[in-house]
Amino acid sequence: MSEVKKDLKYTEEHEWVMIDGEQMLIGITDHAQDSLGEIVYLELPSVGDNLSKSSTFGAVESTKSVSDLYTPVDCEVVEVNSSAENSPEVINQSPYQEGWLIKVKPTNTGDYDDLLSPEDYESLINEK
Amino acid sequence: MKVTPLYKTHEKHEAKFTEFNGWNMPLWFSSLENEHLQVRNDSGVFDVSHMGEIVIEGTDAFSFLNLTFTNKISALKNGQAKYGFFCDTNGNVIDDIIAYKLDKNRYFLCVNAGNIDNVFNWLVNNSKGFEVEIKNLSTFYGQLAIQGPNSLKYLSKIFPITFSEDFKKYTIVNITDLDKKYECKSSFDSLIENNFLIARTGYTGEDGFELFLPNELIIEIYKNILENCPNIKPCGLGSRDTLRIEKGFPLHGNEFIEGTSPSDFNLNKFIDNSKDNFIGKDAILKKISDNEFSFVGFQMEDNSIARNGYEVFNDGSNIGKVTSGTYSPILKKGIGLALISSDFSELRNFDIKIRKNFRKAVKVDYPFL
Repeated sequence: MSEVKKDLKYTEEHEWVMIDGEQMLIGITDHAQDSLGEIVYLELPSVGDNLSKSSTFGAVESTKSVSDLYTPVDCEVVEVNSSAENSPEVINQSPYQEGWLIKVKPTNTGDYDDLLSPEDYESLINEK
Repeated sequence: MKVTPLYKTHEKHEAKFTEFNGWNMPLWFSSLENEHLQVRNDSGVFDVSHMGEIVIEGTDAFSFLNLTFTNKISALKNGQAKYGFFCDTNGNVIDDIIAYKLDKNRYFLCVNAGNIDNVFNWLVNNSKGFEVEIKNLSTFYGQLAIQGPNSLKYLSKIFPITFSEDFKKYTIVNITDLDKKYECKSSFDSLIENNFLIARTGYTGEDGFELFLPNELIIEIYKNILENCPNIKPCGLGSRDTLRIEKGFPLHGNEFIEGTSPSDFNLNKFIDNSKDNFIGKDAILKKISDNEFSFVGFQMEDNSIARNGYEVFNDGSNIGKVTSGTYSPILKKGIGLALISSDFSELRNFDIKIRKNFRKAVKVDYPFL
């Protein structure tokens, strides 16, 4: 069974969001990395990019397939995980820690409340 | 979705499934990359029971297949096979198939899963005036592909006959003893008199065998293979795809889509121009002389991966499309095949649009290994 962390919020497209002071960390869930298989390529935005909620901010690719990454909240990118870009397998090994993708500064504080709770996300992935 | 007789077995082996041409098939078991390497270095077994099997029999079997099939079959001996195409009158591919000669009045065809009814109906529609019976045995046969450099060594552990190096590529054998070994209870007399066919063919570029087995027995035979030869690992369609791309083999649905011809993909060696006629011959000869397309292999310069449908550019102009692309587990790079305008066949470098960005690709010969 895939791990769903209790202290995070989620999107329907399998991103997680962690509050980190005034910033947020974004990554993909354990369920997402498990469904993708070995991740071999990661495409991330640049620091300073402004992202709008639900737009794509990059892509994560396994040997066989491509999965777009969706922006959970309106935000500005303040940091990208360049070690995950260089060694994308870290996303498989540690999707919630070393495998984080981007750090952002939210520009619309209400967006966070709209995200899925751990319980809702868990029922979403168990529907299938 | 349709499932193969091995569906429950695959579930027990914790397969990840994917939809492929209406079938729910294993995509990988533990790891696509490990399965890929297993086939390159040792051997693996694929359940490819979704593939179709059609038999053409009757006194006109040869002349009928000779008219419908692009490749030369006149020199085939019993048990030998040829790869080739069924094409329409416009010279476009209906399906790529392997035709096995069982005897002079009987040919066995392995056709693509998504295409079985299409091919069957096309054959039937073209058979007027021929003394042939065309049987679709796809629901009767399952298929296992044992692939990898050690396949031959393992095969003799599984089946009660001796397989020697003489069992050449593109040959097929009947195995009568298997009926006893597996206590075959059903009567298959109305189908073909011997139901177990083993061919030294495959789709991975490695040595290997394709086993056409009655659905009722495939579960037991699969179990026997895994128990007697623990080095033969179950493999899914994911690695089957990456293995065939590394070898530059075309795939129906990727390369062969509506309106494409074998001549577009450097496959003229599977077209026998010396035959008086076959369906689509004139159109294919015209396409060969028109030489509109060039089919090329490429490798990405950075770590990006180009995939089916991505557009290929030269100096900002679109010159073609990627037909197959993947990350190569052997080369650790993005590789692929592209169909481009033949005006650019000499180009050494081009750009491929991956999402919003143009990424540099360099032309390389395929097979990539």
